[in-house]
Amino acid sequence: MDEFDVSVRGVVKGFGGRRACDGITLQIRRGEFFSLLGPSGCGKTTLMRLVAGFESPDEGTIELAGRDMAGVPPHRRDVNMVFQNYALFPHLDVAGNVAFGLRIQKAPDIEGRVRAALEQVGLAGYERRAVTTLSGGEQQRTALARAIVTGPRVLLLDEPLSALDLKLRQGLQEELRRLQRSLGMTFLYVTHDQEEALAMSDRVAVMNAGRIEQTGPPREVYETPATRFVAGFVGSGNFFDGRGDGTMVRTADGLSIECRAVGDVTLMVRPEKVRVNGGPGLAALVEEVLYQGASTSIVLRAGDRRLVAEDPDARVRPGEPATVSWRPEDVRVLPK
Amino acid sequence: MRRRFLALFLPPTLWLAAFMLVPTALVAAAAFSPDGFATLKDPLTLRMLGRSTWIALAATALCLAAGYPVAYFIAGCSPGRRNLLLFLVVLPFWTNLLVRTYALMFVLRPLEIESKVSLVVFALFHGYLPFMVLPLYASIEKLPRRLLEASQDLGASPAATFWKVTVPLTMPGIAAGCILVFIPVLGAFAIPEVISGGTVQLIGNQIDLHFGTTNTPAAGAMLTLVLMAATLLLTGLYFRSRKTEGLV
Repeated sequence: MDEFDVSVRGVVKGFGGRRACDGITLQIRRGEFFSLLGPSGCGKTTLMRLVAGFESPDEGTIELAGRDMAGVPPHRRDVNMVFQNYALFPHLDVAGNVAFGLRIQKAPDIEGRVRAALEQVGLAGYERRAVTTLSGGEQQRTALARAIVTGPRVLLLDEPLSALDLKLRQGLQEELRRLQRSLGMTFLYVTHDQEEALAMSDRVAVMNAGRIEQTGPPREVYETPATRFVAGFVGSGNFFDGRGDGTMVRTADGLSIECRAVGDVTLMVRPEKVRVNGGPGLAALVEEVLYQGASTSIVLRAGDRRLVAEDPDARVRPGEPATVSWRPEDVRVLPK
Repeated sequence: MRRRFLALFLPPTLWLAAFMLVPTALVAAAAFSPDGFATLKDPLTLRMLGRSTWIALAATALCLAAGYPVAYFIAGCSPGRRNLLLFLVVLPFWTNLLVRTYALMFVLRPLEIESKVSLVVFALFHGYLPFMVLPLYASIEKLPRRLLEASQDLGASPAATFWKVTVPLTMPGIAAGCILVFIPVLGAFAIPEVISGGTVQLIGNQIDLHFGTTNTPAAGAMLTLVLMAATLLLTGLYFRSRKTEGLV
């Protein structure tokens, strides 16, 4: 059991009748990069604050490194947090902010450790800068250095990159991942950005309305989503509700899709698995062609149904008729 | 444009000149005289200044010690309760200071406190506490919660968080409150007069005496200038400290 740095079991937390966390169970391994992914208001930040100790659960238990955290205040928990808006101390300079935790611990060689931490986040030489003069990215790095310098068992990161622009964000994603590997520290990362979660994590937990819908490695979550919510939130998809007889699934509007499912199911095909004019298939009309640089989205209409395809080989223009097809093995079956 | 500027600029300028600069100049003229300078060298004056200063410091310290928890508590309440509590803090201002002081005297009398100086300090603390609570509240209320959480997250106990984060970040409020209490208390004369029955003389009482009873305006004017200089000095220090950016 000790290999788990964070164990959350059956945690419920309500705020005025609304349950922000509604029976959460998850376990995070030592040295793992674990992401909580979900839309805003799904309870992921609340869960993180429960782990940090800023809130206490109504039900359930939280263990850090095998120790029950019930009644343990935030300052006695071996976790540090990188706050969404950094929460740097404006009365202290960069070095003062980074040294804060070390000073509390009365640690030896504070100056050397502060310098090392600043080097690790690429802020060497920034010691005497006032935090109010730093750019967003520099503030983020300072907050990161402040949180890692005391060597906590678990680092909590609450949407740390959400306030930064795209280019900076991508660079910092790589850096964070590299830093996490070199420190061997357990990261619990909260984000609403599915690409970020997929790119960085060892495992992802997808949250919706206070519950975890699926936990698994990024590839597993993307390729075999457990629920319709996960399929729709992590990437996009074409969904078909229908009834299966073991060979075919028939939809209400008369489509027959080859699939072994039985009973009421939802089928999902990822846009990049959909071929346009790639052979015989469903007759549709091209409605929109959205060029996105690296890829092109083609929006088609078949009856009342809207379909999205990302087919780099398709050469179609809006208004043209087209056939839509996919391989049977690319169809995912979701519970209805 | 120019006429409008003059129309806006002139009345307050004339007002200040007539009711501020002219009287100050008159006071200075009266002070800079042999009698005035003699007052400065009088050991009695120096003792009086010393006593006034430490009584004012004691009252200010009491106000800070009592006002900070009150302001902290109010800042932590829901917005509706905050307004009610702030209203209660300023409620004593609805009663005249002298009336309040007499009332306090009757309240304190059964306690049979011997030390008149203690009574004066307590009465000053009682009278000026709201001046401390209001700026402190304004400062504490602006303090971002997440900074306190960040501090605790980094291992600081609530007490350590208070001393290392809350106090430094609310320093502008502490400074403003201390100045707002210290300056009027340093020149107070009504409260000590009433509470001590004239036995505890502060610099304010001395000025009152010079102008009202002994008819020695030069000495009174010099003491007035000394008080004014102290006020200016403190206010100057305060505005210099305000330049520290990013503080609450």
